[in-house]
Amino acid sequence: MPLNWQIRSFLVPTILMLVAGHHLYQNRVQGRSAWGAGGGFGMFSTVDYHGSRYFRCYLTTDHGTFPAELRGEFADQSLKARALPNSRNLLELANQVMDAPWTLSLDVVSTESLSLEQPATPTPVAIRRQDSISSPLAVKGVQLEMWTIELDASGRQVRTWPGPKVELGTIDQPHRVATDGNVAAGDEPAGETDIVKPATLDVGGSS
Amino acid sequence: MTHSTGDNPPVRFEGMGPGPWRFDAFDLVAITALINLVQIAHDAFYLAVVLVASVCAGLWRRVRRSGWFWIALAAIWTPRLVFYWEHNEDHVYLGIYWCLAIGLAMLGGSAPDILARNARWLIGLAFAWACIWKCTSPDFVGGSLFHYKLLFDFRFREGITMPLAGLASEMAAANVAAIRELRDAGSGLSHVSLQFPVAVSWLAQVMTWWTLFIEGILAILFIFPTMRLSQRFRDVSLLFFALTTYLIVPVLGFGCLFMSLGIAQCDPGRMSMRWAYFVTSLVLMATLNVF
Repeated sequence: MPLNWQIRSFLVPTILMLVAGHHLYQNRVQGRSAWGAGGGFGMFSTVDYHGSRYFRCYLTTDHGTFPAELRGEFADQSLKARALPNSRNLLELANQVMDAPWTLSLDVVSTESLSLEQPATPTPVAIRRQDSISSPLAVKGVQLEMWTIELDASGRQVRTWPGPKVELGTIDQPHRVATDGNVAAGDEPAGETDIVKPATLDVGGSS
Repeated sequence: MTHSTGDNPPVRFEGMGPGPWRFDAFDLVAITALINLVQIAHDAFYLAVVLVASVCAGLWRRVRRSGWFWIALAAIWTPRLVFYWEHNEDHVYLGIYWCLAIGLAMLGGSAPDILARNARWLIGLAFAWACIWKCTSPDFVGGSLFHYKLLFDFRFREGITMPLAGLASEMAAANVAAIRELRDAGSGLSHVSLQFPVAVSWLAQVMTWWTLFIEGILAILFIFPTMRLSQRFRDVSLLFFALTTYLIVPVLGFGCLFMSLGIAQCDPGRMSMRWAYFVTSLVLMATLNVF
């Protein structure tokens, strides 16, 4: 049975409008990446997209809290969580981090200042354990924060801002964001906190 | 816009070439649409699908002119768009919409007219949405987006910023190192400083407003194709956009796709313009070392 000409003429443009509208809605409500990943045609419209977003991740272990190197790890889920940072996607990534084997790197160190007043001190960074020789870290908790960047052209700066975050398991030293945007950890007595998922989420809900 | 119905006698695609080598406008559309599918086939399964489809379409005229052939291609891609959406950029969606549009057009009479109507809507709406996103983005209107691309996207940095705006390689390296430090595991930095000459800011402003202008014009020309201005300038505008954009930003998927859409929506009697679109798609591929 031949389709009528209206369907053949307007069905596809209508699908385009619906998909793009859904993308725009999710961008406004759930922080979905404006470009790529979704058919909204927001390419080259903003500095904040899944390619520029990144994670700061902290592992709570028996030996203390350590930043974890996530670059290049958990590629599929990381992409999904950066493209649509809702609680479901972030918790799934945090779960993958929690379940993965980790070890402390002797080569990679962080110079994060543990408080705004103290000078920076080198801190070991947790990396994915690739061999059976290095000592495994027993991970008790994961703090996962998605960060976005913006470029201030007149001030000639790239600034970074905290986005949605989740916490999983037991967190010894919650990392919090100071007023100037610097991450501050342990600058007040660290009470052991047992976080039950879902944890804090600044933007959006589950899709 | 002309309104034809399925009751009208079928309109033939413009043809050219002698005897067995005779082909028509639809063949150019089919070739460029299949080339576009090759560009968006990112894994072995989809590459195999496209290769088999291309061989079948190349060997058998009835296959490539069958609406069900194109609808089947769109259907094979749909699960990827739905379940693995995060891996698909906008031109993948547009490419699959185009396969579906070709399929629907070829299912009945007035195929050239319906194909042209779909092509104009897809081009116009894609640019209209692009304008909506950009106009409502402070990053874009304020010039931050193009500062970011000019400094951190190697295609812009090496193709434009360094030769045209005088960005020194030491500055470029320092900027890349700064942003890497910002994103390092455990970094507590809230900002890093950038180094660039003032010409970068001028260039970013020009690119910002030029992009809004050309994309806005294209949206209007293709959504309102019966305007006199549109009939005279829409093809030239789209070709100009493709050459000035995709030779710099090599998004071949978008480049070839817009050429396929351009061929399909040309007014009757403008076979030379269809060839211009086809040759432009070959130029884009040649410059990106596809051959």
